[in-house]
Amino acid sequence: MKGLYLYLLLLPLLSAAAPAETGIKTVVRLIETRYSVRHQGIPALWLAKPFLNSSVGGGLKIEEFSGLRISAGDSEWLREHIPQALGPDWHPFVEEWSKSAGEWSFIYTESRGQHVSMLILTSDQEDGLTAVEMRVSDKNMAEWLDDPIRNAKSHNNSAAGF
Amino acid sequence: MKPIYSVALVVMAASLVAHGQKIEIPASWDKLAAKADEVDNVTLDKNMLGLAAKFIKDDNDHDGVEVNHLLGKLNGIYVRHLEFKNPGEFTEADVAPVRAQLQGPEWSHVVDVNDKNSKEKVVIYARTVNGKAAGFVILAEEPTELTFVHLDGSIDAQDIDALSGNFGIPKDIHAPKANPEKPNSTGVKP
Repeated sequence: MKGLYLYLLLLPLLSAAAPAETGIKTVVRLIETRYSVRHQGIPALWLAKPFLNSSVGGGLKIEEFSGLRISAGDSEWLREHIPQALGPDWHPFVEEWSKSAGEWSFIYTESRGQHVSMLILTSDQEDGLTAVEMRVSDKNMAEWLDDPIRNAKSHNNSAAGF
Repeated sequence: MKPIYSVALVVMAASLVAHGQKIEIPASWDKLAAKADEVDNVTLDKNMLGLAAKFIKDDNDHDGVEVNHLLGKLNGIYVRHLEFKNPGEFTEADVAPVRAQLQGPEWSHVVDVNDKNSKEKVVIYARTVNGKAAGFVILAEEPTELTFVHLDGSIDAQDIDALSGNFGIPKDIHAPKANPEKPNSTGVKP
């Protein structure tokens, strides 16, 4: 019993010492486990990076589940479990659903030192599920804060937003 | 209980609190959201407000300084926006449970506007705890849209003007003017 208490006491320290997993890896693992699917990376993404617009401050990661269709109604499970999986460093920022368009997206942010990272999970009927993690430039973060709903919608409507 | 066990329990409890962030939205809102075609939620908790303050501070204009000052007083900004395909898809009876959760000794109406021409209705509720301002809720209705904004923190009603149009809060929501003799009014433009 004493060992159990000691374990509970040390648990937060052990967690802190564990290798940090990026937000996107955590979410991808959660989706793969839940839906028994495998993600697809974007081949040669590094080639596109010089042409990305100024909204991306760096650290761009994209993972796709192109065959996975999760309806707006079925997204509730993810909405509940993603924050738990990501832990307290990531903060829910914007959630949006469109039933008629069959689209939804969840956006989380993490602030670490000078950098702000954004994790965007988007699902639509055409492209399936896409997860994007990136550092956000100061200018772009200010725009997001100015009008989060409009920015979330424009992100959904244009995959070329990056 | 031995001290080491107490510490372990406290650490566990703190960890649970950190994970279980409370979002102060009426429970009945989800039922309304289930009827809507489009649902938008914006959540700025204390941590996100700190982040927002940094970016607004960097802007360094007059409005930015004012908003930045207000963000320091807030614990959270929660915006919930619903869009329905057609008028009549939600009724007053659907909204009543949301209003019911804004009743009680801590809550009071500070603004209640019903524009019959535009069919817009805006109600601002003030929350007071132990005689101190603890926040505002704005409930704005249009025929096909419904917006709920919770400004959680010790701000004044006049501060709503400065926040309006930012952070997903609808534009042109005006705070009541300081006039003790006349009831206050507000208005919302689409």
